[in-house]
Amino acid sequence: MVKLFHVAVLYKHGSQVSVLTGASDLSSIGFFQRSSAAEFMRFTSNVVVERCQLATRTTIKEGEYMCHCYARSDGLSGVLISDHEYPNRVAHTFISKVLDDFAAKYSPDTWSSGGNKPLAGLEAQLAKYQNPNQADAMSKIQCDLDETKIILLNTIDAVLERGEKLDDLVAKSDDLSAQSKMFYKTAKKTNQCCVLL
Amino acid sequence: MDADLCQRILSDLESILRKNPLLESFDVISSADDQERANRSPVYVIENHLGLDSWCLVPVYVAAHDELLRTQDAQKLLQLSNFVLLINPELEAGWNCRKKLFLQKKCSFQQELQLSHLALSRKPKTAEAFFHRKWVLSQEMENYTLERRQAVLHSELQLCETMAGKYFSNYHAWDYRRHLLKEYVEGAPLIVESELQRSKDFLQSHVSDYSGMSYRQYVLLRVNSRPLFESELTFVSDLIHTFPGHEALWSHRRFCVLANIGLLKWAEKRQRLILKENKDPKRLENVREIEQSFLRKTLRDSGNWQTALCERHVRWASATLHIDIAPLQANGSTDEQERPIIEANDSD
Repeated sequence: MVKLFHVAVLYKHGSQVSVLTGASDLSSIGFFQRSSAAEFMRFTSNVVVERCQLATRTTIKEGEYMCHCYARSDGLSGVLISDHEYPNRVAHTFISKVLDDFAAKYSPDTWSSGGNKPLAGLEAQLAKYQNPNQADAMSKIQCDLDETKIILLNTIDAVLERGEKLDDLVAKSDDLSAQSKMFYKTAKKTNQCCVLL
Repeated sequence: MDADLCQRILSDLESILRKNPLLESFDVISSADDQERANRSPVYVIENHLGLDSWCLVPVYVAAHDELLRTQDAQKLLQLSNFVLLINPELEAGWNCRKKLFLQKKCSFQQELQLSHLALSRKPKTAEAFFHRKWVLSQEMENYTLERRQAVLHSELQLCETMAGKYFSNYHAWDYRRHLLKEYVEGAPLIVESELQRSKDFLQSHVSDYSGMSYRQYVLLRVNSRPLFESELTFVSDLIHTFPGHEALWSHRRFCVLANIGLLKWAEKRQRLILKENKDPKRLENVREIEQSFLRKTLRDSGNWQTALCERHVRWASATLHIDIAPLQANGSTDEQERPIIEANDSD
């Protein structure tokens, strides 16, 4: 499926990461799983931005999801979670555009205060970019985005530090509710044949 | 778990299913702690979605499954099979039990559709649930007026689309959709027309789902018109450029190439593709030109994997059609070292 799920703007200062704004489209996810999925997308955004280097573009494959991340040299970072069919280049074009819009609206000295900084039209942008064909034609920055500059990683474990495990991070996290942690444990099994739970 | 509680859960489920004929989906909800369970029923509806708390799942399932095979009471069987099939729709014995009840007129057409729909909403690739729908439709459709048949057909096609979207390359959903078209659509150009458009939309948003493409190929061949194949070829070229690196699109392209020069046909009621032997040299030359210019354009800005796919395409053309479509000269990019020209590799 060509699909975007979640876009977020974060600020990375030192080892700290704060979420500034975000938007999601979870309509394709099962009704009872939406809230857990939303929590996981925010959680993953944090984990990835915390560990990525400044001034790099990364695309991480995790299961059927792709997590695109771009941290600018001034610490402003964007994360976009899509499925595996969404073209990487368009994803990164979109992140650049969102970050530019954000930087134009809020000056850098307000970033570190974190908190909620809504960006008007972010939901609409997300909806528009669901169709990469139309979106690509609109954006002008596409030319200076060279696909080879995107670092591709095959699993989220590749961004984790030595000795870190995603399972442990999930278990330790305060951002995830107990229900979401259960969901994380059982999610992988549902599509197997003859498995009750 | 005591039998009373078990029975209460089964009855709850049955009455909920009866009261809410238009439930959208079913799921099991993991309840982390045991405290919640005390005061509310584990079966509930939120905004038209049916939920079941996970704590009661295993004990009730085990008891219900056990009893399902023993009891003869129709009312009981209905309740038991509701639960068992929602949780484990792969159980063919359960569906057979429903078929018996259906023949005894103990459950309705709508009930059967509802149950299999909810089961599929949790496990969208369950073949048994699709088979059950096939069977129920085959029992009922004959008795219906044309109008009602169209309505059922429409909602069935919609269901296929939903399930195909939920699970990647959902063969059973697409197979069921083909079955619907074969069984219940005689001529009916309007439906075929809308299926053409819908499968196109699906393809555009699921570029690596070859199951969906295979269904589209069936519809295309059923319509069987040259202009359609030609426009499909342009359509797939654009997709390959927008979504580089999806091999399914290349396979679909091969279908378009063959169909375009009239090498495929739809054999009677079966969707088998027949590769005819006589090939028109003029058309082949035409194909060679189109493919060559397409490859040249594709190679202009492509990564390693896309180039590999181009090479495969060249090999395929030489093996199947005995033509060499390798571009003679790869574009004029000079900054890197000379790009090797792809060569046809006659393997056979």
